[in-house]
Amino acid sequence: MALPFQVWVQIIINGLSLGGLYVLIALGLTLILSIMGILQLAHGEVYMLGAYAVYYLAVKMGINVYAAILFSMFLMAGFGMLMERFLFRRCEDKVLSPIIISTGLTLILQAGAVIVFGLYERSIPRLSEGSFELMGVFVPKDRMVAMVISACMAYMLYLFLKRTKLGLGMVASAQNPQAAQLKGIDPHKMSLLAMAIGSGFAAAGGAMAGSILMLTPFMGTLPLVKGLAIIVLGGMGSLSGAVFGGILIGLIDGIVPVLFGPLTASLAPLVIVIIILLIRPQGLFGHE
Amino acid sequence: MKKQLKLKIGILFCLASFICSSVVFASEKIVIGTILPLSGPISVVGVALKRGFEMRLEKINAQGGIEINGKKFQVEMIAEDTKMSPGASSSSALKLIHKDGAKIIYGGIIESNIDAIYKVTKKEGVFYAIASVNIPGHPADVSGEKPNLVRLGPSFDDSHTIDIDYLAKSYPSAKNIVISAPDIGYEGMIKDLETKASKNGLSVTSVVKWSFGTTDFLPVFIKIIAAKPDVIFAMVSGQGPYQLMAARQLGFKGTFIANAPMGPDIFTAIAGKSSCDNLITNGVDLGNPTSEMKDVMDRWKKKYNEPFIGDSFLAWDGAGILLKAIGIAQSLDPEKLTAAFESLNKPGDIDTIFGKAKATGKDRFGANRVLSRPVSITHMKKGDVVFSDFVNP
Repeated sequence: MALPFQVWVQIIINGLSLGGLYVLIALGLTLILSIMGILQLAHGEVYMLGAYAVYYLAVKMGINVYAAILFSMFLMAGFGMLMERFLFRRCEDKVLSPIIISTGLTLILQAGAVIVFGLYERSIPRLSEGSFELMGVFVPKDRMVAMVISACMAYMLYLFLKRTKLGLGMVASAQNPQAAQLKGIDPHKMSLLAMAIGSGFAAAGGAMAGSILMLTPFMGTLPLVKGLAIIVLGGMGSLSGAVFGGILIGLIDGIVPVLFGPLTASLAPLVIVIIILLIRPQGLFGHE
Repeated sequence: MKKQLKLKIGILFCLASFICSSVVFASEKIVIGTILPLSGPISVVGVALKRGFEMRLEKINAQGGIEINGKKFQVEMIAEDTKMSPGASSSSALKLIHKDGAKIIYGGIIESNIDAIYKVTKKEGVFYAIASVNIPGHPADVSGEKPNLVRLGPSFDDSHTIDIDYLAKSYPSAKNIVISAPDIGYEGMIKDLETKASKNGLSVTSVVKWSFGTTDFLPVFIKIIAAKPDVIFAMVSGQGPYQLMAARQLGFKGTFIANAPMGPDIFTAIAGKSSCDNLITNGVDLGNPTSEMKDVMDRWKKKYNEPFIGDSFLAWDGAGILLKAIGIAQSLDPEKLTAAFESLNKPGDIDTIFGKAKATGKDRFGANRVLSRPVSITHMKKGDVVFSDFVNP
């Protein structure tokens, strides 16, 4: 299908905004996987709960939506720390137990959300109202804002990991946990921090998704699947891989439905992941 | 010995009382089983239907119940969950019929579940009233060859002529329509709309389909708006407000028709007031309810204390129509019930919350086994309702 150049601008911006949301969820998953060595399958529900927290803060209590997102991030960071301390730390050396725990948590949190929040139509206030005109086409402002926020958060995480003592400690823990421990870096503290940051990022992603897409108790399932595909595509434990993979999947989700229709759009990300893994099994940025 | 004898007599007396009271209770009660999606992503609709049905039965029971052959009966509803699964729907139907003694089954809104329920009710010789279908004429829908099956929800394409006529009258300069439809087999309805549009001098220039479960409509509407429509017609789905939001964000200022029973309150809540301009929807304006609608809304508020869901009107009517059919048939025999429903084929034979209705479908389905009732049409401009009415198809 031949599309005018301006329409491509719309498609790409939309793809990048979706990619931004995926990057946030993938960064959280990667961080938790790198530091704690577990696949946090309840991450999608943290994303969802973060969104609902913003709804109640912004709509019911009238707080500014950006302040609500910040508050929700701290709230879910605290929730993440509780999960680490009381659930995942008990099985830190096991492989299967964390998966079972996080799966159970997913079911409980999702069912709980249906009971508590119900399935009524709700939405989070827009990050920004209206659209702006660019080369003769309209680009929703809230998508641009989501893109910018995601980029800023990813960059802040980079600065934290590279320029702060705590961040460097996390990097060291991810690279060589035993050596890091010998250097006096407390592994439990690093795990707490990883869960806090990961959950906070998920909450931010969920809040923005609840504003620009839909707010439902089931909204966390698909982003979790995308997040898992991204960390496999980008390389397990690679933060730059998570960023690159998130943007790539986001662009695919933005472009393919327009060019090729709904069926191809649902299959394309998975097919691309499989192809890349066949060529480079460790992922794009992963190490063998 | 005397003490033991007294104890035995006492126990026997209690047992006898219980059995007698059970028998008496059973003979004064009719059980209607409902099978609706009470869990999962569309449970908001299923729960609303269940509640609407329940509230109507409560009203009827409070007025003395239903009379069959000179005897009064209370009507009891027992609700089961389809769990979005044909297997669970079948099991629910079997349980309702064999364990709970249901002589009538009401429910099903997804075609695969409806089919599963009907397979059971047909085998067991029980009357089945479908609550609603997405695709009229689907193999799971009613037909003249399928005994003891009626549908108490209207066909969604009943509103096509109403919407197109209103569009032509209100927006005479609009000529090109692009249809947005979920990819779940709406081909028949799309063709129907194309035919009705052309009769009004309008043309459907493009049909853009999207996967059921889509949450981001921006890519879909980038494609739709690239076709430069005057009108976007969003076929029936629960995502009308999200589609409207996407269309307006992409700068579309033309007419948006949401062919779904979602009222202006939902569009305003999701898409925002500024998006609700040049919007035509087939939902009821709950801000301006009829007296009967207000009664239902008040009952809901008193009983559940939760936001009201307009889907409950459908089941409120469904319960009323079922009991009217029982009253005419003076029996729970499924063939007599079917014949009773079919006999209500003259305009005004059925009273619904939307207005006077009738049983119809002889030409299309082979028998008058589908409800035809007035369709709600609401027109919004700049966020306000400028027109709202119920129009007969």
